[in-house]
Amino acid sequence: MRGVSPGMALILLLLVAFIVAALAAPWIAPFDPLRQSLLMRLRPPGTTVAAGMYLLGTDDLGRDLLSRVLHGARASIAVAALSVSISLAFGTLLGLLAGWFRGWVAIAIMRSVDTMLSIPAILLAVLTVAVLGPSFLNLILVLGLTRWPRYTRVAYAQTLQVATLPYIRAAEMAGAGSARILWRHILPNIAGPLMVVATSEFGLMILFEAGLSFLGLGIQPPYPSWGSIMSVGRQYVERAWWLTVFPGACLFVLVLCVNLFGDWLRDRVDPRSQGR
Amino acid sequence: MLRSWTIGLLTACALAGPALAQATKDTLIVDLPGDVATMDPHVQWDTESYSVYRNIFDNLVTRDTAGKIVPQVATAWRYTDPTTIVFDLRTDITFSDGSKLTPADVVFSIKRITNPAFRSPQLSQFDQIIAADVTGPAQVTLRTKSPYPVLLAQLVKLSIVPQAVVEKLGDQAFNQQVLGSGPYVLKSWQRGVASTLEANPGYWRGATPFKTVTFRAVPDIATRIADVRTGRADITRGLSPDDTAPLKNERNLQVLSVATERVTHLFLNPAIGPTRDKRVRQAIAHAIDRDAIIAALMLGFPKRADVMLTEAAFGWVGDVPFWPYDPARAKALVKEAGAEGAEIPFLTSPAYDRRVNEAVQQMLGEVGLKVSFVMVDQPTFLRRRQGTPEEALNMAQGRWSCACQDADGVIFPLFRTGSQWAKFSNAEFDTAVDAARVTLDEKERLTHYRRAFTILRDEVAAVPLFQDAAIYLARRELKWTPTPNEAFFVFDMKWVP
Repeated sequence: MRGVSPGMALILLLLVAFIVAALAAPWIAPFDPLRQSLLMRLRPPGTTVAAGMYLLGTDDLGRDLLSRVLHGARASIAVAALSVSISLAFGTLLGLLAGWFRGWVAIAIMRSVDTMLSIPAILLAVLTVAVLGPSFLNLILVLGLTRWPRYTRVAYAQTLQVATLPYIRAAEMAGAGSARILWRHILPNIAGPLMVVATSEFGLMILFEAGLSFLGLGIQPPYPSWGSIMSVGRQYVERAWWLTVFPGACLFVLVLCVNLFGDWLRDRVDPRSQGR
Repeated sequence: MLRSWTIGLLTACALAGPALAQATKDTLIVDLPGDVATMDPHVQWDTESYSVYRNIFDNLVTRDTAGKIVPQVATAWRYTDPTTIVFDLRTDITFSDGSKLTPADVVFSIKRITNPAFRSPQLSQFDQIIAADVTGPAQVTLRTKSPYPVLLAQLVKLSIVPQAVVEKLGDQAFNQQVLGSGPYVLKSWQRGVASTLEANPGYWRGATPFKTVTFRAVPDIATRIADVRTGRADITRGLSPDDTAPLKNERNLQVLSVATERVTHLFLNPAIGPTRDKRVRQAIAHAIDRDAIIAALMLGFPKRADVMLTEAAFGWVGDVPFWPYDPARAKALVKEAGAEGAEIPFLTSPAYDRRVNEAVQQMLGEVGLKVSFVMVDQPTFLRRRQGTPEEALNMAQGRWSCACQDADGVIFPLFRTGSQWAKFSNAEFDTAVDAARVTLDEKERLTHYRRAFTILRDEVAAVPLFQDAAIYLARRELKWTPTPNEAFFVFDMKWVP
């Protein structure tokens, strides 16, 4: 990896580690994350039983915390990835249309962007989940469909800029249709900044998922999520610190890595910070 | 030598100082999980409101610490016929404004709470009373629709309000400035924050243990515990068994607990889906290890319940054992019913213990039934649970208390065909609970209830789990015995440094 500082290398390594851990959770988790053992409730990290060691302790139903954190990583990353994909696709499409057709299309789209941005996202998500009922799919839809305006803004501004460039004019004169120009010529040229937005949104989505699950509106029991593990742990802070500390630390490190990765990515795609 | 002696003396003084100051404790501070909903005792009857306003009023009758119904405003009562009961009243009680408590006030209180236009949430507790009349200088007579054996148990909750004051102020203003004949007088009520009561100096039952009592609304349990621990509050309620574990070794604190009349159970819907099959319901009964839930999750605080009633209530029978924990039998029953892998939708809200739900989910999973939770908010939960069988889903947790300590208030509303909560319907059961409702003979009632509980058990209309424990945390000096009906009478408390 040319031009990657040692610090950045560490961040990338951690990110890869998180993703691998999430993907491989069913194979590397030492216990079944749903398997309760009522007699082994709230055991501290390092407790050993015949079946193995509870490396991070157990929760209030005697389930292995390490296994739950690993499976929770899966939930966090899956929710973030899917909801970012939805809002990225939706937001970019609207931004491209607004930037290309301008006029009333742009007015309609950009005013709805302004409207969406003026509604507190977490409140909207809480309300929607409360109405639709909490489920994995609803969680992804809610996060995906409340966060698109940021992409639309970036895509719109970038499209406006790119649309005036000579090669677009040339393509138009060569007879290319709007769809082809948007897909083949504009989208690749505005992808960089959009990826930067997507990265920072990814970190935010992980936090949102944890927040909603903490409130009981996200991943539903018995399936683990960092947010819901911490929500349970809150009741046991005095007795079982490990329930809040470990998922909290994972959340912190993962979001930090994602954000630093986003900064690094921005520096690479932003023309103003490109020295070459 | 002299030095150490001086230090010893100083220490002794320092230790004696606070002890002397506490010998007469003026103010009791109580942390409640929430604020009072209404001060008017004829309106709301949630635990918070109850904890506060019942200290301001006297009741027609009350329960002693053993749970027996004993005189309070009424000194004696007798049935002249199965639907007519005559009460003799005390004549030495005055309200805190100095006016006398008369039989007219008692009749007014009954008429007020039973007036449908007043729309008291407690109406269903008293609506069997069809007439109340003053029949002597110190006597009132009540008549009920039919013979009503639960009447006295319901009257335990009837606060006597002063007719003149309520009529002068109106219902709205009375709620703000309640006035009764009880041991305490309302001094201030800061909504959402705290209410303060002051001792009623001329109280007829004697001197009150504290000059002032402050009830504060502290929603967070960790804060309530910290308040008692640091002495900012003297007692709080609403602890979970897990909360008590770190408090065991604190010398200045005591954990008080009592088995309440509340029965935690699993409702099974026999009207829809896989739970229509009795074998599936029976399998659920066999699959749930109630002792493990009580011992491991509840740390042994609650008592196992074998019938849908607690020992604190009339009608309880000890000779109808529930289905034993037997996962192998449960598996076989599920197989026999062809219900392997069947989905059991489970309606729940944040008000119900998530851990119990999840433990049940796992236990049923082990015998081949798949529980899926449908989480809704509490008002929606109550609406759906009372709604059609389809809305109520196949399973739900319930924590039932009628605050009347009688089987009639528990299994009648939960299982009698046509009542609000019932999805179960069984003619023989209906006959038994109907008969038990209209006879005053206790022996006969018990026979009916034994029959009713046997039917509930055989048909597996519900899985009784345990008799809930109410857990309080108090400073060591506070002497008080909590009661199964979760009453919070400050008058019964004592401060012993």
